[in-house]
Amino acid sequence: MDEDDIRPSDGSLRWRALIPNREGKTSVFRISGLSEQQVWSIAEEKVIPIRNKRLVGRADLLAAVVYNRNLNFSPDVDAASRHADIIEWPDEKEKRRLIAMDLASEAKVIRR
Amino acid sequence: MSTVAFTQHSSIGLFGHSGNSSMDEMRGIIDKESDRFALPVTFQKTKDSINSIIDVFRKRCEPNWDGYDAEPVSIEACKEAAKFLQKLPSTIPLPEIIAEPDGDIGLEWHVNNRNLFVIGFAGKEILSYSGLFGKGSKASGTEYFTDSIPHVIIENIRRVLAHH
Repeated sequence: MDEDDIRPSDGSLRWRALIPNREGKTSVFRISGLSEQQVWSIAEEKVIPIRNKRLVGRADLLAAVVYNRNLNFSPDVDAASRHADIIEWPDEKEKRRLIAMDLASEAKVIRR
Repeated sequence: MSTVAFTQHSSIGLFGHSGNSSMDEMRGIIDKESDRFALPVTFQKTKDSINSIIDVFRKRCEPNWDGYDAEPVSIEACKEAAKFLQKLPSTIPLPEIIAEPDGDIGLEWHVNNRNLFVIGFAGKEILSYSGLFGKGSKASGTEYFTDSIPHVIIENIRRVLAHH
């Protein structure tokens, strides 16, 4: 991901950041009950080393918002990792994009 | 339960390599079309947009450009998006040019995060479109695109711009 994922005009999240990958998964982390410091630690330890990119922020979404779009979560076997994938996206590209647009409109962008 | 998706900023490899022949091909489209526009100002705006397509292609023509296994943007998608822009009525504002993770070129009209309309081009004569029009109204679908812009596409662009 790059700087384009946050819209410069209003600081909102671009829908592209939530589009599932080729395997139909959007990678997320559960942050319920974590302090801000712990949330950013997840990024430092589990996201940056893999992505090899500079972190500029995060986008928070309520799980209910995801469920309400008929999507689901697939948590990793290792629950301690707090990692999960958003799954069960529609097959049609235009519907996936529409849901991503809808989710992005509900996301709260938090810059680091 | 809350979820979080981390948004990152590319610090390396932002500008991928691009084939010179593809660049020449895109620039050729611009030069070729320049003679067809009666209004220089209108053409200049369209030309700027087509140049934006070239910029997006240059930056996104390598695999995994988003760090999430994205496909490279194809020259066919670029050419089709450029063709669409050339046919867009001059009364409609030009869109933002974006790359989609599946390698398509997207044209986006964004009023705010609840009012936006996106068309995706894969270079296969079929457009995919998605739009949010306020809190409860949505539209998505596909349309053939060969010689003229489908009426439903123009309607949806005007619909989202009405929220300005």
